[in-house]
Amino acid sequence: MIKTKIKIINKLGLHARASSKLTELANKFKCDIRIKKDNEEIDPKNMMDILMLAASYQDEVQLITNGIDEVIASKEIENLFLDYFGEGQ
Amino acid sequence: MVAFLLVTHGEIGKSLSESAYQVFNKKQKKIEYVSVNPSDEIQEIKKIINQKIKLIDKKNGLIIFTDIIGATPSNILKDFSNKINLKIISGVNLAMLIKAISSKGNDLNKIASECQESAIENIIEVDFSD
Repeated sequence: MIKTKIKIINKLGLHARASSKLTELANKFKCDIRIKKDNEEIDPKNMMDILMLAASYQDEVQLITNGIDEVIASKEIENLFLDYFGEGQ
Repeated sequence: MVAFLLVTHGEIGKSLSESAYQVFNKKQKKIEYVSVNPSDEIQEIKKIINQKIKLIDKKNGLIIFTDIIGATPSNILKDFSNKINLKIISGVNLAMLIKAISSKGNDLNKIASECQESAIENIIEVDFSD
């Protein structure tokens, strides 16, 4: 199991388009993936769950991957956050 | 794959379809819609809905989303309700549509249930205080 703390650096936070990209990426992996914010934990393979998290700019979330491809899943998902979800800001 | 169609008052369906299309970075097919306006002839609208249904790839079933139960767009659909593999769901919102588009598998009943649950879950008081 890999746990990674990630700060949301894109201005719009986990909004709809970003959530769509995150769901698309998460579904490429076989491992179980969770994103935790405060006391809420969701499955990013389900886009509506991400939106319900209402995670904004500067919020901190924890990414948890657990399973056969947990290392690559953790790295690629973290990179998506660090790449501002491809939004440039 | 389960197919979707919007039948709504005015431009609601058009806007929902376009908004969902933008959310998914234009990687998905646009969802077809039928706009129902006060000046429209009911028989004409039924014809348009029929044509849309014929053209949609719906081998795993079709879900028609409408806005308010009991209103004209919903009532028109009564004529189609006896079709096999068709579900009609009222109260459409963007959450319902996003759930529909991101749904997996071909289980019409399951997807229809998930769409309803998602729409209801999203009607909450938003509290940014914490």
